[in-house]
Amino acid sequence: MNLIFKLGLMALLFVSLFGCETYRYRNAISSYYTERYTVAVEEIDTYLKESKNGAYVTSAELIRSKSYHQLAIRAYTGDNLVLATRFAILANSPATDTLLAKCYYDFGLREFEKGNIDKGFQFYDQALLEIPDSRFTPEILYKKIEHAYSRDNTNYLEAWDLYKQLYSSYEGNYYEREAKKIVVVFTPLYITDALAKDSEEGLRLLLELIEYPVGSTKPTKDAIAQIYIRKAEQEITESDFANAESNFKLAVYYDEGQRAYVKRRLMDTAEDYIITGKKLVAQRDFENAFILFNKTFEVIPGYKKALQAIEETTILINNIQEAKDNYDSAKRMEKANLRNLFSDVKAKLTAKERNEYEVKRYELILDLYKRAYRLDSLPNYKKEITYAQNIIKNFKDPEGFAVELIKGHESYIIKQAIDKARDFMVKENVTTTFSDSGWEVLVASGNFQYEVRYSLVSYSHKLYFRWLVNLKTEEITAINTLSRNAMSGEFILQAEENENENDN
Amino acid sequence: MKTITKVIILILISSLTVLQLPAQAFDLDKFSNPKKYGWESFEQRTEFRNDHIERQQLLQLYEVKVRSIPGTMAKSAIFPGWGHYTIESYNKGHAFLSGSVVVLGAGLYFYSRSQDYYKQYKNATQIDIINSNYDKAEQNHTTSLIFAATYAILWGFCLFDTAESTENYNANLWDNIVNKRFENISLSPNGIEVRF
Repeated sequence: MNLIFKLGLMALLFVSLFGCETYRYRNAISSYYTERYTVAVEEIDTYLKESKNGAYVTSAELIRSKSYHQLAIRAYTGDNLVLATRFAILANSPATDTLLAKCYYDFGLREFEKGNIDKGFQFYDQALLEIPDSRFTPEILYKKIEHAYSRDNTNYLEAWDLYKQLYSSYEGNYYEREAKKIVVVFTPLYITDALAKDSEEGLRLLLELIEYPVGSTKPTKDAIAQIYIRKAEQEITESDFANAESNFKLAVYYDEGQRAYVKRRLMDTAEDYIITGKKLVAQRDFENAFILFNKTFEVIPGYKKALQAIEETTILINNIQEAKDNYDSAKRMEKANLRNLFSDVKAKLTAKERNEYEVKRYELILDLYKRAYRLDSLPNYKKEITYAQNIIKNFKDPEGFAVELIKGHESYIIKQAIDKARDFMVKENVTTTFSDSGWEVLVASGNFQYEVRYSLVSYSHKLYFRWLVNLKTEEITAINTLSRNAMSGEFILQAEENENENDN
Repeated sequence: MKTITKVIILILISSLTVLQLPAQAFDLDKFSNPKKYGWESFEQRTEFRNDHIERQQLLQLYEVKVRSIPGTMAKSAIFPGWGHYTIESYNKGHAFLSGSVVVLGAGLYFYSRSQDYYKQYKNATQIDIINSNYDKAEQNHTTSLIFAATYAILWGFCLFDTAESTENYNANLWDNIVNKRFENISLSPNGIEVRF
């Protein structure tokens, strides 16, 4: 009984302690501490397949990584680069990265010695990809720069990109200083190519170049200034003066030598502002004109021409407003009652008295239109002046004015036609007489409308000339064909007689 | 009986030795194959490495909170259920503790009664009383032994279960730590937020 109890207790302790996870873990990693790294890896791999405790898994993986690291060191010491590389990859830890980089580096060197340049660089690329911050990186980058530029010295972009990478992480490093010597060689070509590209791309390239201390910055700055000037000139052609001015200033910032040229161009730009502003004034776009005039002060503070243009424009605006006020007053006066205009108007006016007052009214109106036209030479104001003058004549002597308009029409052309008609009647009626009515004026329906007549009548021929005249607008309308032809200076008989008969 | 013990120990040692022998011939190419862990590309290797580094940082936290199996077993050996309380397995702790108290109490009770009957048996003068007290003393003694054996089995099982439960506790502890790490990392409109 006592023995069975003891055996049972032993079995229980055995199962509890040796069958547990901790025991299996310790058993798996034990070989690492006895420096049997291969066995350690295999036992850990076996353990990891059945382990349930994540902490032990993590810890076991760490020991496995260390085992591979040791195996990699042994392989590298034994000059077995392939095996060392494989173990270093399997170690997969920051501690082994340097060794892995060294393996890639050595592989690359061996390939270079064999003349397999491209293959050698493949190993270098692998080292850069997998261990970008290894101690071999500057040297690898330098060699890649050297190789890229020696392969094709017109295609420097790859070398430039690599240099940027080298400079950003290893500024001042021996290999960075060596690489700089190569970059300095292709910098002039870089600048030339940047200048040949469009402005934005060129600027981007040059501004990037200037961030790196590769030789003198003056050629780069000069090139940047050239591009800014090019941009400014383009913007001037597009009337984008604000940006042009800004770019001119940037050009001077990068190249002080451009100051004189830029100053001259800024003067031109300011002048362009004034010219464009004046064009806008002519189009009566005063708001934008003032914006442009004021912009000149950003280019040249206190620019006299701009001040003068602003003053002139302000006077013009006032004149325009005053002219409009005069015009509006004249229009109101045209519609106003006579009693509102003249206090001495009687309750009942004779026709003559009314005409006298109308003449007075339109003399006042004419004066207002003339003042408006003097302030603002609008065609409309000119037209209103003519109308007012005609209306005054209309009220003073409508018949005389109507005949005057007919006679004076196109340099007396109607009068010439009448003379031709009279000559015809004289020839046709040698033995008989014919009647000549002279100019007759009749009132027609409508404001300022009069009918002007002239008739030559014999037994054989009846010639009636008739026109409708608007004394306000000086518009003449022929009422019959004979009169219509007369307005062209012609006298055509045949059709006239029949038509005249019809008309009458 | 000593021979049987020796044979059992020999079998155990032999089995341990045999288990440590390599299963098959060593293949260096397979052993050093960089893709043997499923890392087909540099990106996959990097992914594993980053995950492993993160897990290594969590190991420190695990070391603080982990419970040792011998420690919990020792506690359960002294007071059945104490080891379970240590690993926060309170139901089992209550069950083992109360079970042990009941069984041990019952054993002691019957043992005490058997001693009482034995004293009466010693002091008795009549043959019937002598026989009766002797039978009762023997009966109670047997019952107390059954309870003692039951307690021993319960105690042993408690030790075994403590080891098993501690192992599970440790495994769950790691899972909780890993899960909590992800719970503390949340995606907010301002980016990734880590709460400590």
